[in-house]
Amino acid sequence: MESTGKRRSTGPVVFTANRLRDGRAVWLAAGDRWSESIADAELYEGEAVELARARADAWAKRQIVVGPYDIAVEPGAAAPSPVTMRERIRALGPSVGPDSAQWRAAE
Amino acid sequence: MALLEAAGRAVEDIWTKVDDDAPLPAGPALISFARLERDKDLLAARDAPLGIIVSSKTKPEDLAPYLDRASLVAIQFPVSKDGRGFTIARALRERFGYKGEIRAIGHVLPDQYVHLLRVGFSNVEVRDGTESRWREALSFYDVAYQPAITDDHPLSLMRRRLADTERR
Amino acid sequence: MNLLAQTIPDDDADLQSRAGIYHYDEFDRAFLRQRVAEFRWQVERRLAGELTEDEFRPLRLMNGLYLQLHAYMLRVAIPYGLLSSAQVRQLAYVARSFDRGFGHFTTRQNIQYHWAKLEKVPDVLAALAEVDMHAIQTSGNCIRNVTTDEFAGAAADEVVDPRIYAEILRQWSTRHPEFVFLPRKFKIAITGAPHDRAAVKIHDIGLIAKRNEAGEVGFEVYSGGGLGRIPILAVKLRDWVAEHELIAYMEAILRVYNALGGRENIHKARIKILARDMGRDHFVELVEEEFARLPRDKFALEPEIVAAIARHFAPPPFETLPAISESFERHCREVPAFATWAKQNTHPHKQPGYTSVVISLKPSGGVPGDCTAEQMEAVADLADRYSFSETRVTHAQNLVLAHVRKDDLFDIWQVLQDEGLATANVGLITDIISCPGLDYCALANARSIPIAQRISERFADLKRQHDIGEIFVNISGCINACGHHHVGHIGILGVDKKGEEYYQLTLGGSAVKDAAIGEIVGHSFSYDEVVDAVETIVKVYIAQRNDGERFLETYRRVGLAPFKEALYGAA
Repeated sequence: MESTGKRRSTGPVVFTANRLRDGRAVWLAAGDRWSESIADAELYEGEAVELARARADAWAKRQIVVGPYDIAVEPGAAAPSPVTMRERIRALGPSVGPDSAQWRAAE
Repeated sequence: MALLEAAGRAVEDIWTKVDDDAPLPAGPALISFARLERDKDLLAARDAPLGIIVSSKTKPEDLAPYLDRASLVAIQFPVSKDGRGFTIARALRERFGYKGEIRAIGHVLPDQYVHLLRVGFSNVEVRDGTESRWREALSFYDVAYQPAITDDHPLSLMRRRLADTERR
Repeated sequence: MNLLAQTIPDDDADLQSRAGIYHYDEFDRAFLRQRVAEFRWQVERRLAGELTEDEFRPLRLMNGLYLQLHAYMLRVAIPYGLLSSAQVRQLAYVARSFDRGFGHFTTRQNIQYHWAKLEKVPDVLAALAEVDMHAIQTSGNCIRNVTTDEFAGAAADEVVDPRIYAEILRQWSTRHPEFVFLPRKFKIAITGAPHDRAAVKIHDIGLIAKRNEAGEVGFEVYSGGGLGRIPILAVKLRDWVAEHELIAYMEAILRVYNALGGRENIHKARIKILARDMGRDHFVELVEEEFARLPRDKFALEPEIVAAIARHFAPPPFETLPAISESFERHCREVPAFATWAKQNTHPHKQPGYTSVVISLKPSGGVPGDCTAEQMEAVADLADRYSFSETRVTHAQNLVLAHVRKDDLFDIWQVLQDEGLATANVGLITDIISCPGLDYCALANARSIPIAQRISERFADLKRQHDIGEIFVNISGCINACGHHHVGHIGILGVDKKGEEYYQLTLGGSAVKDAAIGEIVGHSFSYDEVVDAVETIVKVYIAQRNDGERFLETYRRVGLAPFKEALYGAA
């Protein structure tokens, strides 16, 4: 996967968080639910971003997720592709070790 | 707010918190340290019990000159993870021999109850409706590796059972 | 009377409990069970929303539970790096049953599991408590694991066994009512040998245990050391604190810190900042004032308690053996690969005929410090069979079998080879210390593990490694410096440059007696360039070195200039 450069200040975002019970990285999907796969993440732009943030925060208040935040993505054919390395690793899993199959498949 | 002593016992709060510029009531008055320093001569003449609210930044040695006339020191925790109040209380007891009441006020968690008692707090101000959680907090441990402030026995044996007042 | 005496371990214990660990009694076990029950209660309250994340965070950190990129991470305590075989097997069980089949040993002698689930952690802690283990105070703003020398009780140059005092300090600091909400984390290290294998100068408190002319035990006390954003070496507070004064002196330092340590800015909250800002002399003055006035009788460390704890660390029943092992010598002649491994991966033992074995967790291209459940079980078996059921964890993220007969080395080596644990690289360039980095850690700026892997692969040739000789490469994925890059001979720090992974190099750091913080060489290198840069540095060393000079010695003689020039061109 090509290494992209600096973060953009505009462009689509998705919302992500950790699930409280098991800590898994999750993304806000259509239908106001959280998915373990970034492929299900809904993209938001413009005014829709703050509306989505309010929904994400409401889930945090209900003890479902912890610390939701938005991340910049490139819309992709298969799945939204995060702009930063950190969020790519969250989306694909570690790039090393026994749990790196998803990362290696995407490379 | 409710006031819990050792062993989770609820007691009546006889103290009135007074703002810096408000007139003092006839009975026990709880004032800020700043007011005490400002009005110390006026207050010297006062007969009724006096309590001092101190912040977590307060140095025990700055409080020392006033301890003989304060029957209550209330230590404010701005946030539960600010642990300076524990050292202030312990210093008041150990270094200055303070025998009056020491109260924890502000943002404290039930999880801190046993620690508060063991460093010399007399009671804790808790949110109404949380008393049962505070009492539950006393139910977990019956042993400790350090002495409590009131513990006369030396550290050396490094393990002791908690007193009944620290347990439910 | 509410006091409970320290029990003395049963001298007739069977082989399983022969390990020189602190053997829990019913008091200690009750405490662990109670701790588990308390944490279960705290998790319930969090899940029910009674505790906010901000309120819960310090509580879960005090049970070693972080929230990271992919999942929770659980850091299990391995007090001063010492484990019995039963404990190693339970760590394997936890890896298999609650995680993904492996664990990661850390630079503070603990173990981490990367895939923990909050709702399951009370069960994990209950399983650990069955073998007298826990995750108490491995994180959070409290006193952390007291670390020491991985060869404690075995090393030929040891003057005082530091494990005794590490255990005393562990008990003293466990759930200490005054000190569990400190301004920031607090790390203590203790060494008992003149060669400081515990890196005391980079700790919040560092202790050098020694003896006076009368043979009595006392401590040189250092404080105010630490790495991270602002690396500072500890200053000496006292040349001598007598054994019975140790706890009182510790109390004095912690009281000063708890009262005065910064709480506004997380980056200015360590005791190193307090000591630096007020100056060493004022800092010492405050500690000495507190020490002078606290009730000494109450905090006296009685000789009886030291003796009771020391009995847990009595030497194992060594056999009387000749210093030279004929079978070992023969195997060395017959099997060169074994000779190479033995030369590199063993450490001199005080008992004739014995040695300490370092198990390398740095296979070529592997993840430094990682160990599978199967490997853990193999190590437990080896420990049972050859080292009195005892295993240690080193700061370099390797394992140690401390008390091995030289006669047994060849058999041990063969088992280690089968398990991928026999890479003959201890102290060499591929014995890399690396934090987990951006692959796992929410704090990281860049990945560290793939850098370690690529360096390991680049220098895989063992002959080349031996030619290069002793060189410590430390990698941190961010300025928190969990990989201790500041004190690496070559330090590599991951930085974020416009969203890309870059690496800043430092040279000449050292954690031992003549401790030093590494110097930054120049602008950072990209993910693709950094391994070449490391190779360039090595080539400069080879070109510049005098006969027998190790990397650090050459660096100290020639300075930064030749390295800078090779990396960046002439100024």
